[in-house]
Amino acid sequence: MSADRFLEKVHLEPDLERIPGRNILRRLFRRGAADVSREREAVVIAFASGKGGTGKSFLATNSAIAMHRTGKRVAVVDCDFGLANAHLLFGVNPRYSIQHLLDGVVPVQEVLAATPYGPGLVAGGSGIPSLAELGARHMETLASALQWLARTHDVLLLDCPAGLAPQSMVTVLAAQHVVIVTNPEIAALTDAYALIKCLARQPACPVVHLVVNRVSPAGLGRATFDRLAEVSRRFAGCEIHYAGEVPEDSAVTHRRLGQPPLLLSLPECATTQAVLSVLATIEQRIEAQLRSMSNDGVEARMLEQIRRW
Amino acid sequence: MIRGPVLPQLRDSLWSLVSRRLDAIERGLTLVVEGLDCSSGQLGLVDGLARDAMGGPVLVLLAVDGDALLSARVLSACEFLTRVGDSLVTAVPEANFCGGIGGRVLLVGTEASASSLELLRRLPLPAFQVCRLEPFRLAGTERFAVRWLSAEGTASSPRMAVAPTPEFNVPKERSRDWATLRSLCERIDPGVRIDGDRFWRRITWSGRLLGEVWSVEGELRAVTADGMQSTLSGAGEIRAFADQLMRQYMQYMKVAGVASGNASPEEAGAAKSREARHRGASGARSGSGKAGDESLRSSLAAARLSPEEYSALGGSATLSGGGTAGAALADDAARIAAAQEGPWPPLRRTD
Repeated sequence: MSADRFLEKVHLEPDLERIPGRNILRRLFRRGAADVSREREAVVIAFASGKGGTGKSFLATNSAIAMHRTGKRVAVVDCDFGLANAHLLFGVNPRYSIQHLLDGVVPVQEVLAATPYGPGLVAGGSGIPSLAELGARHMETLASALQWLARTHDVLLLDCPAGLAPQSMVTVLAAQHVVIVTNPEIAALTDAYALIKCLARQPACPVVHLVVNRVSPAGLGRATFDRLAEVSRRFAGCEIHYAGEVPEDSAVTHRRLGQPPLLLSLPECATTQAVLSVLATIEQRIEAQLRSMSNDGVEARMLEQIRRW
Repeated sequence: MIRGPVLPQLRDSLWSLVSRRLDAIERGLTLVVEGLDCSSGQLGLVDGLARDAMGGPVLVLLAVDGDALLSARVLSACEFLTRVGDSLVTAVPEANFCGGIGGRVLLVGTEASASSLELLRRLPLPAFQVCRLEPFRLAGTERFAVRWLSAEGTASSPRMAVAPTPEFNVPKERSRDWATLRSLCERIDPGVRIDGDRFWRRITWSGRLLGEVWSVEGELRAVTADGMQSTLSGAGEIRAFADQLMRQYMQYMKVAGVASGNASPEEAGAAKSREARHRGASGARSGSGKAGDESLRSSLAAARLSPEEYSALGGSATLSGGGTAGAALADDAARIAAAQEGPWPPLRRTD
């Protein structure tokens, strides 16, 4: 039987009805058809927090390296438009940054820099004094750049700026999954909750994962999550998912410029293991929800938020 | 920085709070004078002399952390009452104490003085009571509950939350009337509860107030939920009061019918608005509650945390070790004092 004849036969419902196990076959064919029709796009994960200094960049860079080592094409976009530091953690000093991209000086293809550890990096800006200077036009440029990155990579990690400025929220809402990084201290906790509350009010709320960083003693992360999850459920009507805790580690805080990321320099230490565990949990949940979530595209999501600006 | 609720730890601040809220510790307890010396100046002053609902004298002492003379002062106060308690009727005429009513020593403490309270409550002293104020935060305001510590150790047992309420101090000649009223209440509905403190009883059904009864100066006084007052001095008054309780109970039953579809239009409307408020408060993750047409900036502005949310998250402050709690005590005390200025709702004992 020729291939055309076979396909023709498969699509004839009466014939399919006679095949044992036809329901499984039908599901397989339908799934395959859907995959072919949909354009492949990277999973977009945003690392966000209400308060600054909670460890977003640390987690984003180490997660990117870990994902890259599993064979995925990963890009990190440092969306901190004024005080970027992801490039320092990667140990690179790119020629172009997101500032050049937003100003239209160079296209995203040139801003994307290679790092010694594998993932690509769009370095954040350091010459934009205020987020207020970023208008809708800048954000549309960023949306277009993210769309290109999403089409050319498997995973796109957005290292979002702290705070609840509209520009920050537009980048957070560009993602399908938001990893909120907080610390077990009340200031970080309330700021994280403010972010969750804000996300819960959005028409298309992304899946929210919570990582509690700088935890001491062990187990405090879970307690912190329980508290935050309860408040989020009660007051914001938002379900959040526990991704895990990362212990307080002087090896992280005392890192010097030029040292390789912790994942590579101290692969066996508790912090590295915790980061890997967090990442595994997040990936597992992403995998579980991949088919059930609609994917309109990162650019469409961002443009929708810019429209609501 | 958000912290858990705390009570003042300094004697002056705590006394300022307690002296104004004696009625919250025990119904009818009123302050007569402050600073009573009953140890010839050797052990310091008893913080206050109060009059209880029966007209008896009560020596009120505060337990604060680091008070080395507290035990001695308690013993001295008890001895003082034994010696001259009966004479206080004439010695302090402005207090209007009733003759023949025995005096008491009341020790009031907080979490900070828990160890002292725990030790002192074990002392086999006659007419000596110990209570602990337990602060909590409700809807952004600081409040406290009163936890009575009995000599039998019920408060330290795991079942302290359901410890029985103190025995109602009924005048002897009215004890029969009170027993009659209790039995009538039980006949209204098995769910009717009677609880309160030594001089006050609250009659409730499903958390709704039916009426209250006070033991005041040898009488039983009652008030219904709608404010009708009476003195229960015989079988007729008891029956009339019980009838009022029954009517109130029937009204509540009617309101409870809202849930089963038997509500009046007004009640149904009220229920609908309650539901709408609940939907609004419980967020917008699902369906129509979402801010679909809301601008991004508006949704950011709406993300401002309410006092209730701050309060609910505040418990986590202790998770981080509460390192700043000590430094912020003065701030907390000021906040509590400020909250005192406003009308506090009636406080209820927790056990």
